[in-house]
Amino acid sequence: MSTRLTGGRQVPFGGNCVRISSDSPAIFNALAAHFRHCSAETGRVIAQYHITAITETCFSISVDGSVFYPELTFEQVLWSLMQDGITRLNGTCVTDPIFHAAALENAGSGVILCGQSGSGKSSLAAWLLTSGFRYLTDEVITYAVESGQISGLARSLILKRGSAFIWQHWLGEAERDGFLRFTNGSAWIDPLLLNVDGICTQTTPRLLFFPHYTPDTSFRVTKLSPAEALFRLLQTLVNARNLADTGMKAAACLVRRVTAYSLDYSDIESATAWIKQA
Amino acid sequence: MESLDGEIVLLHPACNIIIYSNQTGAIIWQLCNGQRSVEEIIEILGAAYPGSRAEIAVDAPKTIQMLVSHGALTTK
Repeated sequence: MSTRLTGGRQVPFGGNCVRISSDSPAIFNALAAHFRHCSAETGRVIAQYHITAITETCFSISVDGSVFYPELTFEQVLWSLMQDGITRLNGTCVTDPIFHAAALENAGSGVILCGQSGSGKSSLAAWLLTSGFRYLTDEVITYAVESGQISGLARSLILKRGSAFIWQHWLGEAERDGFLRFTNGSAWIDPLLLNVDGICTQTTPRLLFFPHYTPDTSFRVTKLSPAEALFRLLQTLVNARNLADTGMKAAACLVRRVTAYSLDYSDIESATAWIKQA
Repeated sequence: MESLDGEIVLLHPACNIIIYSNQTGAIIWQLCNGQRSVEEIIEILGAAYPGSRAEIAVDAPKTIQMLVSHGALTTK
């Protein structure tokens, strides 16, 4: 196969980083493109991934020299690395709490969309990007108590098949750099395709939303007390076991600094319109 | 435990349990000191809120049972 690429791509987050190299240019270029907005900070390398092309269509992934996944397709390699890399970065962060959340910035203030997979945070983030908000992440944020700032893992947006209407509306069907469609109907989208000025590395959060997408539900916003917000926020804390007090104090500090709402919606335009005026 | 504006969030990391309680529940939890009985807690709350004695007599045991069932309190 082709010559092994040296150097590789580092993906930092939470004070650590994973390193990715590949002897498949197609895979390396795809990963480099969809992690290209991750911060330039480095950190302790906690895992070194290498992707080996066995044939034109079959690949293996090794981690720290040991084969981890023996036979994968092109798409499976990308999803496996995305999932495994983020899991390792989350699990090794010992300095700041990491929450499962999307985050954006608008007019100098941060908006956090907090929730588990399927809550609609990536879809809302994508739609807000098209309204001029800037992107931090659609997956995980860290919160630094002392500075009061949030930062995010700025991978490409990942929209599932059910959110295809978003990229169909804003990007159409044409192939383009930074837009990767998968056979399962999902897509990876460079946030700059939705907002050319759309990247923000860190911001001070002001609004905290807990979105919940339910088809055919009526739009409803409920303001949450700080304790209600803390209760929900702690359920999205992914590295509690690494933190001195399981992250309780830091999470409480965050909810004291923001206004929090639950957001039940089925219509993305109504939801984003409300967030914009909040 | 974290208290925010009179409400509380309890976290039991070993059991991975998180409990939210409103202001009334927070007061009840704080009255559970290992010495008082349920009846004594109802009496204290009833004296503090004499207009709500009937509701307290119904709601306080439910709140205590909720805290017990989630592992935040034990009975003896």
